Amino acid sequence: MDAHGIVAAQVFTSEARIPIENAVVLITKKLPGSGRQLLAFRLTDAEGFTSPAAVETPPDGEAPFVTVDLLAEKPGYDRILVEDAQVFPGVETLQEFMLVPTPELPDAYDRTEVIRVSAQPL
Amino acid sequence: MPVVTPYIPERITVHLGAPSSWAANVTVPFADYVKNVLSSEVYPTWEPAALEANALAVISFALNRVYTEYYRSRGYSFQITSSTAIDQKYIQGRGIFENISELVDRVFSNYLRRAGFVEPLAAKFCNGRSVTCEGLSQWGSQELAQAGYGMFSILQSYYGYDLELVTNAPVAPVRESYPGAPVRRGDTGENVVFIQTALNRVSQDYPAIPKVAADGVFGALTEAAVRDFQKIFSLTVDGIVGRATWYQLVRLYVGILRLSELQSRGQTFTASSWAYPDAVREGDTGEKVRQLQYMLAVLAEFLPELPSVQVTGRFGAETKAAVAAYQQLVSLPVTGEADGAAWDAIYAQFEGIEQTVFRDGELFPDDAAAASRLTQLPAEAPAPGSKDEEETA
Repeated sequence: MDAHGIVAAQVFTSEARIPIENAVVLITKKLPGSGRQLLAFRLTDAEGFTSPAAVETPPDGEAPFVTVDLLAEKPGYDRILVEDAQVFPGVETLQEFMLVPTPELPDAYDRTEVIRVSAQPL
Repeated sequence: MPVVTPYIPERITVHLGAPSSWAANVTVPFADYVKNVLSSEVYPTWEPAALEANALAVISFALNRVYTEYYRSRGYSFQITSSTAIDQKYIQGRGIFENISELVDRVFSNYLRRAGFVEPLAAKFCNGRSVTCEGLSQWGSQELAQAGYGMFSILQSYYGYDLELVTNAPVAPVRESYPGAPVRRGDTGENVVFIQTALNRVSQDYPAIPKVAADGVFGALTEAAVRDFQKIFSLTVDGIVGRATWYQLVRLYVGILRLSELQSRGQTFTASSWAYPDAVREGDTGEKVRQLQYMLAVLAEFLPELPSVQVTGRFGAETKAAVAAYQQLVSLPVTGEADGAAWDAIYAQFEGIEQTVFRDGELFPDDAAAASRLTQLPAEAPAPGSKDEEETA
């Protein structure tokens, strides 16, 4: 079996970490060119957690990790997209999404906060 | 001295860019900061000993910045930046790795110092391949760990053998060291002791400043020393230690920091019309100011860019800063004054929270929803078209 890492997410709002139930979390991978491959689709439970998803990581000797994109959304809140989240073999990546409620009469329909994870300066 | 023992700050304010560049400040719990930095700096698949050594370097470096009021004494309101050239890498909102999270929860109240010194070690580090420096080499620590070195041996081999590991340091809220009011002749107490100690230390390099006894009494001799100090550092020569003089002393002396604590509970708010009154600005008092502060306090809970606000009913510098921060956030002209556009933007965002979080009631239990302002409104709602009795003063 190939090496794999685990991705899990928690979705909540406010500093008080109020969990958001039934938020959608999508795990996708950029394909060479422009397409995206859907790796997993998860709904959060009453504590705001998703069940963990396994993601295949590169074999030994190649890159130490694989990058995936994580999107969390729930009606009433602005979306958050985390680009290039890292997954290491045998390590669980926990992504927290702190969603901010959308203002009433938002100025745009596509309200998405994009977080780009750059690689370690190693 | 105001604070002698270094402490672990409950929260740390990070500037997401180079110090003088425009960038947001975010305030996060200290342990979360360390987890984020460690996830952004090294690979979680490294040896546990290497990860722990790197964690202690990250913690000590951040604590040194806090302890020395490095940025505050230069006029900035944050404690550390996310710029890798000066500080450590931090990516707001990134995911963290489970093993790093467990490690940091175990060690975040530990830090490094040199034997005989109080301050946390300014534990510089670099990756050891493309960049080398005097401090810890990140790849080097991994290689030593693979060779069987323990966490402390790795640290000693980079930082020297006079290293000490402090465990279970106290956790305290961050406050600024400046006592809040100018310290002048006739004052006594620990703030005066700090001034005298700092002056004595500075006078070692600037012999024109006379030595004074650190007795905690601000007398004529201390005042003369302060005047000499102010003359040398181009400050107003008045013999009074105000904010500028204090932080010049701190900057020279390595002071101790306590920034104002981030809290914004305690909303005691009675419902009334939320319509925009007229420009609410610094110096105003009254119900409209309370409404504005209440909305800002709620927003600050949801938006990490906003400083917290106390609901006092008086529009002071704190409220002005919060309004300005919000204006900057939504790209309105930054005036620090709640004019029509700012009020409406704040209200719309607040109403979105009210709608989604409070009113739908799905997130708060019933008794909490009952305490929210909307359930109080029907009884106290003003008649349509009626004006608020308490207009802005």
